Amino acid sequence: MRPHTAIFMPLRTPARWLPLIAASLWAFQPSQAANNDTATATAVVLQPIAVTKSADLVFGNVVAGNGDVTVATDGTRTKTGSTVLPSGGAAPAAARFDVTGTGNNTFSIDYTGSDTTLSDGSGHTMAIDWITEAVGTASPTGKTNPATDATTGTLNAGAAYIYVGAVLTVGGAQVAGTYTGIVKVTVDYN
Amino acid sequence: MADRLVWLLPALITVEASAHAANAAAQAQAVIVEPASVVGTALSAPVSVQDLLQLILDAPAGPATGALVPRINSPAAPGGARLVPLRLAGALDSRQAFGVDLVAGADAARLSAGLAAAVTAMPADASAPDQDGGPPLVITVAFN
Repeated sequence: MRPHTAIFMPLRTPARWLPLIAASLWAFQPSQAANNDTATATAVVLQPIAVTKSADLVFGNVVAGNGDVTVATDGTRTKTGSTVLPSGGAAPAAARFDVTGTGNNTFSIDYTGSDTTLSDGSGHTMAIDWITEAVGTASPTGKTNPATDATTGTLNAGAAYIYVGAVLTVGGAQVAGTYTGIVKVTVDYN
Repeated sequence: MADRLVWLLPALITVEASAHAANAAAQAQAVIVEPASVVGTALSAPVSVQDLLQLILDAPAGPATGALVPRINSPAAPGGARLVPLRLAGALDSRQAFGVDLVAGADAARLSAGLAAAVTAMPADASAPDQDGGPPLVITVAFN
C-alpha cells in the first residue's frame, strides 16, 4: 500500500517557494522495489547417430552333415555333429557395424528385418540364429551364445561397434550351393 | 518486463536433438560343399588308407558324384556297396597294412568346379559274401 503524502498548501503560495515544494514532493514519492531473477536455458545439440556396415558375416565352406556351424563375434568358427569344416574357401568372419554419434551417449539396437534362414535361391534353406555384441572399441569378446541379443550400446567418444556372428543349422543332406541372408541393424539414441 | 523476458527464453531456445534412427544391413553367406572336397586337401599330403576309410565312413553321401563313383549309403550305389560298411569297420579295427596301387581312372566321375575329389570303397566282387577271405576292397579316389 503506497504511503499517502499530504501536502498542505497555503491559499497564497509565494512563487519563490515552488521549487522547494517541488523538491519536497520528489523526496516524498513512494519507492518502488524491483524484483528480478534469472534462469539459465541450456540446449545440447547431438550429432545425428549413424551406422554403417564394415564387414559381412562369412561361414566359408561347410561340408553337409547333421550339426551346427557357429561363427563367434570375433570370427572364430566351430562346429558340432557330423558337419565338416574344410580348409579353403572364404575365411570365416563376423559381420561388423560401425556406429557414430555424440560423446558417450547410449543408444538402442534393433534387428527387425533380419532373416531367420539362409537360402540358396532354389528353395533350399538353413536356419540361422544371430549372435550379437555391442562394444565401445573394435575388440569383440568372441561371444558364441545367441540366446540374448545386444539391444543397447554406449558410444565411446562418439564411436561404438556392433559385431554379429551366428549359429547355422546344417542338414545331413543339405544341398550343395551358396546360401545367403541379411542381418539388419537399426540404432537410435535413447 | 524482466520477468516476462525470462519466461520467454526457454521457448526461444528450444532445440530438438536429432532422434532419427539409422540402419544398415550386412550379408551372411555359407557355401555348402560336397564331402568330397575334404579328400582334396588330404591328397596333397601323405594320407593313410585308414584315413581314407574313415573319411568314407564320416562323410555323408551326396548325389553330385553320380553312379560312376558310388558313395556309401547312396540309394543309387551298386548293390555291392551295401556290404562295405562292415568291411570298413573291420579294416579300421584291424589296422592292417593295405597295398596301394594308384591307377588313373578314366571313367571317374567329373565333379563340379571347386570340389577337389571324391572317395568311395566297394568290394572287388559284389557277389561275394562279406566275410574273412572275401574279395578285397577297392577304394576309388576321383580327382577334379
